[in-house]
Amino acid sequence: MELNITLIDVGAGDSIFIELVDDLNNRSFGLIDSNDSLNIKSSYIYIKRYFEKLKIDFESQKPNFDFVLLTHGHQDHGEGLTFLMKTFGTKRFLFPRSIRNSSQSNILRFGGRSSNVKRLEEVDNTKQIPFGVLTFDILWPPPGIIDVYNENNNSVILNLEFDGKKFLFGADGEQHVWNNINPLIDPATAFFKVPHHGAESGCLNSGACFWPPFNDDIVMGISTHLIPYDHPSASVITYLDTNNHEYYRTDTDHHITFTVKSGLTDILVKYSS
Amino acid sequence: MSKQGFTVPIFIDENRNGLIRAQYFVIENMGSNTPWMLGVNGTQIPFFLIELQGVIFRSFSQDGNFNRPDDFFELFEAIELFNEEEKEYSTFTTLNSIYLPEFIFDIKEKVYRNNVFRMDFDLFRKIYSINLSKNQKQLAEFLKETESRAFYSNEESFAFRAWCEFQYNISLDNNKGEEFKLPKKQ
Repeated sequence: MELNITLIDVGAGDSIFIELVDDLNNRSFGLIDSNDSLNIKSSYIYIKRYFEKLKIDFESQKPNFDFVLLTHGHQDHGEGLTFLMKTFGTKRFLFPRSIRNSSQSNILRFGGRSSNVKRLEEVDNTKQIPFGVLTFDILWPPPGIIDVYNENNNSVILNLEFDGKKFLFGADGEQHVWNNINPLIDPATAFFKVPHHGAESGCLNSGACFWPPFNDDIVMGISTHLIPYDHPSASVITYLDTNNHEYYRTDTDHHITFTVKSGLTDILVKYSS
Repeated sequence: MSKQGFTVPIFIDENRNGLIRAQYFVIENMGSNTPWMLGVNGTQIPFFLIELQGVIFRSFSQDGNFNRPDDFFELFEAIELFNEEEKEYSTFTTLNSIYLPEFIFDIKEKVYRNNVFRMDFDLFRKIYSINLSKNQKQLAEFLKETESRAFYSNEESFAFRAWCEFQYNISLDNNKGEEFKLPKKQ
């Protein structure tokens, strides 16, 4: 089996394309967030070309995604999802309980009527997300609780286990989130999508890190938001450098694919600088 | 003001450290439709629509504002076209975003999530172009020289929040695709 996690360079914000190839060469696809705009459709172009390269007839094979997840109701995570779901189709559109907002409400409006979105479902940490022969574990949020002041704290945090390795997807979770879920996180996690584009608010307070101390061999990915927010913060990059963490960032490394194959120890990283 | 006095409604998504991300409704079309008419310099030209994006700035109400949640629903109903061949909406409304500094908003205390402001179209167009080029220095310089502002729209803010809440809740009640319901943890 093979797992490919690609942080698509969307210029600013998150878009994570996940592929699982099982032993029978069946492929499963998932998508976490997208910040495609009307003018610049980076996720769409990347995914379309990927499917074309694999000679996948995505038009007739809809729904192509097992799931599309909006981690939280911020526009830099959801702007492109309507068009992507319309084009590629998904079995599930998943989202957390949120401060009622326009972007999430409008995606839900689309998803409720579209024949290419088979199901809408609010997620919380009592549920799991099937993905091919694997299952995503939802670490956050708990059911029925919502942070009405900070949408980032409503972010869905996911853990995926593949071939004994753990892959942690941090969305935009801030200190409150990490304080609650740190006991659930394995220090031997193999891959970590750094939260909130590497902003201090998702990572550090007075130099102290919110996440548990990971093992040295962890590989990290940062979906940056350089303009206009200047994320990642210089202090976070200094922290990662000081702790000798191996990390890749979309503003300097473009699309970054992390590949792990059954039986192999290392995560292979493909990127362009 | 713009020559025609047009203003664009923008909806606050996030306010972080004085930098505002706002949204605006657009019509998006990536399919093909029957001929439309395009008015240019007083003449009308029929054309086949392949792709389109257009910024929405008026409702169908008399004053053009979105003063009731129904103003949003009525607009969507009128715009969105269902393509029988594709079994999907080929023309639909979606949201795009624009980044703005806090000082251009007339009431700073009102610059929070889901409140609505209206912006002069010429100012919107200029900021939109600069946002596309991502030149923040150019944006700051331009805004220093302009008197134009974004004005808080109280009635539209109430209507917009009510629409978001209503739309969210009816979507939660949507029980389609039971076969894809997520399993509970063991």
